[in-house]
Amino acid sequence: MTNVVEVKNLTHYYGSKLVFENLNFNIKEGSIFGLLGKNGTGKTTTINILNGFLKPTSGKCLMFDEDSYALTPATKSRVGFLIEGHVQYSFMSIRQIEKFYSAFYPKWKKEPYYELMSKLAVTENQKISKMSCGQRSQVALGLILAQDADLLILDDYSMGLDAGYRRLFLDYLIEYAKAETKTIFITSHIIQDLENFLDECVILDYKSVLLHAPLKSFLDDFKQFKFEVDNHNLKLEKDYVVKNFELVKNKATLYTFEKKSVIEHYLNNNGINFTKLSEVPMTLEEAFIGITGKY
Amino acid sequence: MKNILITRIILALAVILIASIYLPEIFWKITKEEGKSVSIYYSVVKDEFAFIKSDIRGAKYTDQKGNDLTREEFEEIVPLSNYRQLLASGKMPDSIKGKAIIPKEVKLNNFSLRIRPEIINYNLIQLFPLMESQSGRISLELPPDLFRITDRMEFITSLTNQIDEKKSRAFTDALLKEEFQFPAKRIYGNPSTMKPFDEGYFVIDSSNKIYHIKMIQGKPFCVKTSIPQNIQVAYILVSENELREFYSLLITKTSEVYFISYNNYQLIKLPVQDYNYQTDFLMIRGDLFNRQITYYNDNEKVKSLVTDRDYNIVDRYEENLKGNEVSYASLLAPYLFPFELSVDKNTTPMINFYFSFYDLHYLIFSVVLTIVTIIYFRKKHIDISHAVIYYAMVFITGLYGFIAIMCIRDFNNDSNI
Amino acid sequence: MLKAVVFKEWLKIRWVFIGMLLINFLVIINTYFNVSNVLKVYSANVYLVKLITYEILFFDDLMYIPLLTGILISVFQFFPEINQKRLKLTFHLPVQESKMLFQMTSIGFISLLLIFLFDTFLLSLVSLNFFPDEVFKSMIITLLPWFFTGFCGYFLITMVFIEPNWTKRVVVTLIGIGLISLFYSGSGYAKFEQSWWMFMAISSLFGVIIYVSAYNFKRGIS
Repeated sequence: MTNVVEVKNLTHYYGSKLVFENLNFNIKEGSIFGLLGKNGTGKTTTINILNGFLKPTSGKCLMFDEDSYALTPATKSRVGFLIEGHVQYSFMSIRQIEKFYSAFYPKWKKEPYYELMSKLAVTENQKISKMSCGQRSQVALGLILAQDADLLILDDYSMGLDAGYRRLFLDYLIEYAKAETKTIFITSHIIQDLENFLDECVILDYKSVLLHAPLKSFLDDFKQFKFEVDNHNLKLEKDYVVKNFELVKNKATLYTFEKKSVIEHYLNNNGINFTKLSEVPMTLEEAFIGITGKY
Repeated sequence: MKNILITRIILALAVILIASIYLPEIFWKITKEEGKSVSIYYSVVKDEFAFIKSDIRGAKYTDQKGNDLTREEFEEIVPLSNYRQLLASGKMPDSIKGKAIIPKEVKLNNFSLRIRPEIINYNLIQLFPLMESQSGRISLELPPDLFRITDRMEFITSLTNQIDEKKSRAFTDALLKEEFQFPAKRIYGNPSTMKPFDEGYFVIDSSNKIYHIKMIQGKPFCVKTSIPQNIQVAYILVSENELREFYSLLITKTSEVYFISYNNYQLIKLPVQDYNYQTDFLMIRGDLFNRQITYYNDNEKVKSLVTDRDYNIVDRYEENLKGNEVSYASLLAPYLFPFELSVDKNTTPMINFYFSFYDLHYLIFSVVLTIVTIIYFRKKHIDISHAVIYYAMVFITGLYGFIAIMCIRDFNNDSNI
Repeated sequence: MLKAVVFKEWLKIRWVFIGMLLINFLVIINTYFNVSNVLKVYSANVYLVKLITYEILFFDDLMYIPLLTGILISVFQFFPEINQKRLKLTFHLPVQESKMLFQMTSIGFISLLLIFLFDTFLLSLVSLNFFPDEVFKSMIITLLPWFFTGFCGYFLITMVFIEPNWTKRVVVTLIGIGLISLFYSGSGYAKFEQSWWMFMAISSLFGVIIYVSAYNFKRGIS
């Protein structure tokens, strides 16, 4: 399988402030790739670099084997781009904006767009600026679907959308992704919707990568253990075993990729008295919070 | 734009252009010194020059030896220019140099003419009012029309914006009779009603002949003057004067100065030397005994000649306007600025790019700035193949180029937009 | 594609274009009545001789209107692009960014040109109606630098919008103000007679500098 996107040793600073260092990942053709992380961890920065709107401090991004900073018009036409906040030309009406974009994309299909628009209770002459946030997200989605791009880059598609619109958005994306060669690159800070959607993900923390794995293996391997301790001030530093640790009164939660036996051994070795050690299953969202921490 | 380098260089040039206009302007504004001026008179009483030197503290009167005079003393040694004051205070001498003084005669013989280089370069709209020169009225009046001289002489009635055919034909015919070659090259006159009488216009035809045109009782008066065709006229200042000695002052392109006399348009040459009509201010003062011709430009000498009424030199005076003190600002400027650019200057009303270059002193500062630029590029790890273009820019345009570099700051050239 | 760009730019500037056309029209109509009223009070020849010797510009109400027009067209055209960084949408379209920018600024430029041609046409009618041709010719040369301020103002504001770096915005603004002030030098008729073409060349080079800002935008320098 070929890689649609290749990110190599990407490092970026804003002035002297490090955003991330040595970011590496590839996105395979036909996959759905998620770039996850809390706000301010560099998701939009990555998207900007990928679309050629930011020159990285060092490292490289390739999109369809072209340096993302010097994309040719031909390559740009293969990429559908949803800007954070579903920004569009809001001074245009539903019909005008479709007419505008259709001039640029040879493979333009207006049917999916108008199909989506017909579900909104708006006329074709409605100006986008006079529409609700949810409706605007549908316009933006409709436009990239009509573009029939090979790669969709969606920057925080969930921003400002309530559950219904988020669901609707994903339903369309799933439909779109059924085609073998369509690739989706999505960033989000809301995770629960993506559980059955992503193939692979990268989780960013401030300045570093927390995880880079297929979603399934993350869900299978990342575990949560709960136990009780006497010491109410117990602190465990993050290391190769402990990915996160929380303590509320005497109830401890430990997140790890290790098996139960390893944890028992680890706790004993560190001289921690514990009782009632048990593994508790997690949803994707819980796992995400587990690995990124609540703060 | 394929190449960001070219656009950056254009940006740099824009910065250099703007900086070379405004930085010196601000510099001179800040370091401006007190203004001084000197008016030079000639004393017929003492046969020497006398001065009024003024600065912000006021006016100082001196004689040629530098003795301070009171205002009254000054007026007494320059009686003809101050005759009204002296008459009022009863101090006007009865005779000067054995000639009895009659106030009416003093008044008649006093005149002064001034020409600024700016006037010569003026591009006024080429439409002129031709007044009736013998209307029988006390004061002059503007005519209802304006004339132009193109392939004929045309009068356009202002109210209707229509051509007065009859009048136009009459004047055109009169000019043709005098072998006027249309169109006119230049037309010089004095379209003011605040003068004692009207002498109309001096007009240069396309074969360089000079014509005198006026209107007498509605009829054309057109005369081909005897002024030689090889005189290259830069300007003619028409000045009607009761003395009726000359119609006008004629300045040639070689900066010779003549009066056009009432005596059959004969030229009277004034003995000026080193006068330049493009830069110098010229003032001619006349009185019962003498003619005084003074000319100066902004940054150099003032020269004054006194002649008798036949234009033989009687006395002369020269002074360096700036004196011997040189300001720190004018010493510093050649080091600071490679050149100065301005869009206007006081010798012309026309807007253009006027370039002034001092000398190569600025190169000292330029070398320093170029080294600073090289260090800056090294420090910022700006490693570009065309850095030498920027170094050259700083070297050649000194401070301005350096400012341009600091404005651009970002020189990466790694891809195009 | 060009048609689509024209369509989009027109949507943004149509109201300000029509509005500015109207304002220019009203200013010139006002000029017309001012002149015609002066001619009812004064005698025509006295007014005309004054106009020539004191170099009274009968159309000086228009002086700053082209600058205002240029600035407003740019604001209406580029504020929506920069607001919420919509320029990213524009630059993501499958067209070379510089070509897209050239097309966009050309549309602004042409709309300014149309307004200024309209002004020239109307003022010519006023001038030729009341005054001899010589006044008309001098008027045209006097108008030129004012129109150039319109183009420079347009390019300047566009640059300020596109440029992501604040210090560079200040630098560009200073250059722009410095340049625009030059066009108001001198007073009287046709003082740019010998130099208007140089000022025109400089104005057009000023338009080229936009690409430095566009490049900065693309590199995300801020």
